[in-house]
Order: sequence, then structure tokens, then C-alpha cells
Amino acid sequence: MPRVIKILTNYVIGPIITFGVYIFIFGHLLPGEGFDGGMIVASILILCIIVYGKDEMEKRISVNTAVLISVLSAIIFIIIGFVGMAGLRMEHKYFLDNFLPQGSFSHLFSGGIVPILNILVGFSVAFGFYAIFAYLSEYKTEE
Amino acid sequence: MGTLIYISSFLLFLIGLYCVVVKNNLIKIIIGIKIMGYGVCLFYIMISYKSNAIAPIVLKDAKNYTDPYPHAIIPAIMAASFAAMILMLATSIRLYEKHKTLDMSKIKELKG
Repeated sequence: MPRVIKILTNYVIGPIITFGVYIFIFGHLLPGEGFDGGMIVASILILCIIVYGKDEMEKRISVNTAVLISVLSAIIFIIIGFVGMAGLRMEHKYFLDNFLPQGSFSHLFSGGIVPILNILVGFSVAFGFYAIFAYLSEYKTEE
Repeated sequence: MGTLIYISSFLLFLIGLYCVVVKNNLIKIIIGIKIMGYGVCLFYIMISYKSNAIAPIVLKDAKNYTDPYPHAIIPAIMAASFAAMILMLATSIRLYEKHKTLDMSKIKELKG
């Protein structure tokens, strides 16, 4: 890759990751939620693969680690769903039922379990897309 | 405001179309496809504009909101097009490894 792109990528990584994390933390207040924030973070990870090369990124975040984070956050999502089913706070027992205090209206700490689920979806999507891209660009057939 | 919506988003779409049709480099074609998609997204967002209205976030002393539907659906469209872009970029990396070039006019053999 040309040197200009490498230097520009260095400057761009921080703001874009911050923006993606902002989108999925404020998912219950603003348009866009976990999926979109995770997509923005994944775009910068993929830019890093393209600019710095697969081997350099394999040292920082290996593909196995990415798959592990993605799957773990999906499993925690399901566990939170079953905790809601236990009915700790209310009488009705649904999957993904709210069991946290709801907080004050239109503040960051509100909405019960929704912000936590948004953050989990964000991590799952970001590292899932990263792993899919790494696998697709690296996969070789046996000849 | 009315005609500016159509002109600006159609212009953005045409820039992307020009990029797809004229350029030979695979990466530039992918960028063109993304610009076309952003043109459509911009059209949907701007068509929901209303004067004296705020974004569809519920506040206490607000009376007029813009149409919330595009704000909800456009991030989903962008995420789907991002997944398609991943597929295109991965395919172009594989093509580069096989043919050692990204020029579409030099990649002639599409078999196997």
C-alpha cells in the first residue's frame, strides 16, 4: 500500500472507532443500534486488513480471537434472554424480559437491558464481519 | 428545497454510475457502487425533511418531528450494503492473488 494511505489510516482509526462505539452505546436513544455501530467498527478493522496486510493484523487480533468474541457475545445475549424468562422483577415471564431498573426517561442509563443487548450485538457484529472477511480472503481449496 | 433533493441525490447516483461504467480498477468499481448506494440513502433521508421539525428523538418540549421511518430503515440498508461490500472486497483480494492485477480489462479468463 502507498505510504499516504498508511499515514491517513493511522489518523482515521481513532475517530471512526469512537463513532461506532457511540452509535451502539446510545442505541436506545438515537437512530441506529448495535448492528450499525458494529458495522462501523468492522469497517475500520477491514480497512486495517487491507492497508497493513493480513499477517500484521493476525498478530494484533487473530481470527480465532475474533470468532471467540463474536460467539461469546451471542451466547451472553441468549443467557440474558433466559434470565429475563426467570421473572426476577415482574410477574410475567417472557424471553428477553426486562429485569433491570428502567431509569429516567431519555438518559443514557435507561431502558433496562436494551443498552446491554445493544453493546453485545455491536461486539458480535464487528468481530463477526472481521472474521468473515479474513476467512473469505484467506481460504484456499485443497488441490 | 423540493427540487434540490432530487437534483443532489440524482447527481450523487450519477457519479457512482460513471465510476462503475468507465473505470477499470476493481476497487474503484466497488467505491462507485457504494456511492450509488449513498445517493439512494441521501434521497430517502432528505425526503423526510420538514421545516421547523427536529429529528425523531422523543423530547419533552418538542411538537414537530420528521418522519422516523427513513431514520430507522436507512441504517439497516447501509448495513446490508456493507455486508455486500465485504463479499466484493474479499473476492477482489482473491482475484489479485490469482492474476496479480486489479485491472478488469486484463482479467480475461473467468473459468475456474
